[in-house]
Amino acid sequence: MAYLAPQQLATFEEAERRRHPAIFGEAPSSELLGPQRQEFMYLRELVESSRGSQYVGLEQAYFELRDQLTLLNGVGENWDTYNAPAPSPDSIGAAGRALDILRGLNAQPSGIVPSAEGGVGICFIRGQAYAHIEFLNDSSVYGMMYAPGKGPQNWQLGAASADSIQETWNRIRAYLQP
Amino acid sequence: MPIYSLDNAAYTQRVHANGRPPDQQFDPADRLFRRYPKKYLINGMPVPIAMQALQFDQNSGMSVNWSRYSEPQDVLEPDCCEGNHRHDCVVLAFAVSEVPPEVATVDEIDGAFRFLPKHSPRIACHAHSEIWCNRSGDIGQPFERPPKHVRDEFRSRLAVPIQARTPLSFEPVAD
Repeated sequence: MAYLAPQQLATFEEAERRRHPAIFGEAPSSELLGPQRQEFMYLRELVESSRGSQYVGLEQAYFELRDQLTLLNGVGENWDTYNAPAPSPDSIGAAGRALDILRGLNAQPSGIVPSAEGGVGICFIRGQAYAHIEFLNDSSVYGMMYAPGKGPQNWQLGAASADSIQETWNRIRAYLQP
Repeated sequence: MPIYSLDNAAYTQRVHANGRPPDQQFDPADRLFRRYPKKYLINGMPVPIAMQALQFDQNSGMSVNWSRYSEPQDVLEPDCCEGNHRHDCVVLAFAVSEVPPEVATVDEIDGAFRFLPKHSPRIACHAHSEIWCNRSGDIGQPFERPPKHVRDEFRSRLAVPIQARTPLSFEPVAD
């Protein structure tokens, strides 16, 4: 029976490692890692798979937009330093309902700001093209859009109903396309 | 006491009226400056909905500072802000030639509102001016508040050159 000297054994193991990388490179099983690590693994996979997901990206954008809308409750008179009125609770509520409708339509607003005319604006910016839906304190609703090479358009919406918001979004979406 | 300029004779001579009379000789290349709240920039850009457009007072236009008598940062000074500090604002700039000269009305034949700058100096802020509006286009005639669709078209047309430039930010000067 032939025995390998320690130096020869090391060489043999190295050769085996190269021949069977999957066996020698095997990671510890999840059982060996323990339950806590397994949870981290799942979480990491979840985060990885959500990265680049349009649904998750849109949800995150709407979380931020709702935060922006909520902050408007704290906006006072003269917020623009030129005596602009504060947005009323009614205009903030109307913009919030419109935001829910827009979420259902997969629209992605760029931001929510107070209107200098007294109210709330949901803004859309795509490159140099711009549009907004404006919910005024007197309950009237207006749309506005402009883009290079296209004439500016502004109009009054009949109401802040779901149909009206959907129709407005369709109009804005078509206009914002390059 | 200025915040964004050194407190010296040059500032006082530039910003305060010092007995100077109103001057209505605007050059098309002259610039007009206006404050804008920093926190309502979207992607670093001002949006027209947050810009005042001749809608509040029945008898006054849109306030601006005129570059003939003002540096951009002067519009942030307490002298030009009724004594208030405006650390939370950036400065928007546009040329006199970029102010839409008129906007047609939709409900009148050949009806239009005309817009032009009017120097309205204040004792502590000689550069203070207004974008005046009426049907005649005569700054000597009373201000007329245009209807909503005219205001919206005005601000959408004015927003284009404003958005093409980066808003100006200023830090207080060290004493």
